[in-house]
Amino acid sequence: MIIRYRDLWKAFDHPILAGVDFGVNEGEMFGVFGPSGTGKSVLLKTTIGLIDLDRGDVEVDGESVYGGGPRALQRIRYKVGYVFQNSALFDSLNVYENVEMGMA
Amino acid sequence: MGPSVPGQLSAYVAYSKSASVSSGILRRPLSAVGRTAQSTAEHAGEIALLLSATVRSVVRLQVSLRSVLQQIYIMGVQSIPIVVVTAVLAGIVTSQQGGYQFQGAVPLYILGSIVVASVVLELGPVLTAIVLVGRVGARITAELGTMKVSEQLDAFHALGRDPIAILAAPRIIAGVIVVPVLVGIANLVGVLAGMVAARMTLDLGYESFLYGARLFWHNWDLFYSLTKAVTFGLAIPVISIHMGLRTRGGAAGVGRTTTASVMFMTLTVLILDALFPPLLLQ
Repeated sequence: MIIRYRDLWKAFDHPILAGVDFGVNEGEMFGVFGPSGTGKSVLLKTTIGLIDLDRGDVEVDGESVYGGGPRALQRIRYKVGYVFQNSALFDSLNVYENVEMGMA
Repeated sequence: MGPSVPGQLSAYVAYSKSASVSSGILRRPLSAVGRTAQSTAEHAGEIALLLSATVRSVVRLQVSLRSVLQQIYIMGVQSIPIVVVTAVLAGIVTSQQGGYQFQGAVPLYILGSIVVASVVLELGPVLTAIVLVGRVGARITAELGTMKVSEQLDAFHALGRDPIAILAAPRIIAGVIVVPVLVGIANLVGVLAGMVAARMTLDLGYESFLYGARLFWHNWDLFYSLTKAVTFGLAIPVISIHMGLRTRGGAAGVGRTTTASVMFMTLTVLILDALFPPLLLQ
């Protein structure tokens, strides 16, 4: 299993993730559907540790996102390609600097 | 119609109702105090974390010199015109009002001392800081707030980059460097404007003005002025970055946070300014 979500819990004003637990196999295409505000983006952001969890952990390629420390998290982030909802181009940087940002 | 209540019990019910009303009256202000205290503690904690992360990124040499120079240009060089205009007006007004109050009462050369002391100790640093709150602080909060709500900050993390080293540290370093320089310029220009205004409207010669200025001058005053400037130069970018990083709620959220940030920075500058005399002018 390439990505493993283990018992994820997250609440803001109300519970968003309540015991989410599943895995994605290598080569598998996996879609998450649901109405707005039900936690799809929150779930995806946990894949590279962009959101603190109340409980649970995510493993990517055998490494823990939340329990592996900053270096492990850095390694995971270099491995994962993540496309943001709002494209998240750095509009204060020029094209070269945008490309350069992902090359270090 | 509610159930009937025996005499003594109804008196108790009436008492407990009035007690609950009075506890409700107390609860609101107390919970407001609690909320304010909690919010203040949250801001203080987040600002401390921001500062420690900034120091860490500087010590680890993660801050790009090019970014610092770029921020020095944006925050410093581009602010010179508005700072100069403000200082000229402050110097002229101080000179005119001082002249109005002193004419016929004390020797007019005292005006030199009044203008220099007012500009160097107070107007130069504080007016420069207030101008920079609007010109630099609001810009930083809006810029970082927009990056936050458009997930650009998350994108930095996703690429394994530290937004504090890339966005926060260069602005904070630049603030600490440029504000004392801008205050120095404001002090000089303000005093010169006051001197020229005194000559033109009160017929006070330059030599008399400078004689009065030298008479009560202390070198400590310049140190005091520049210490204020360094403090404001740290406070403005730190608060504006902190507020930008906690923005949420789309375009409306950016507007709300920028307004709150300007109020926060202005109040902080004025509070810090009020703390300086008891600490450094004893």
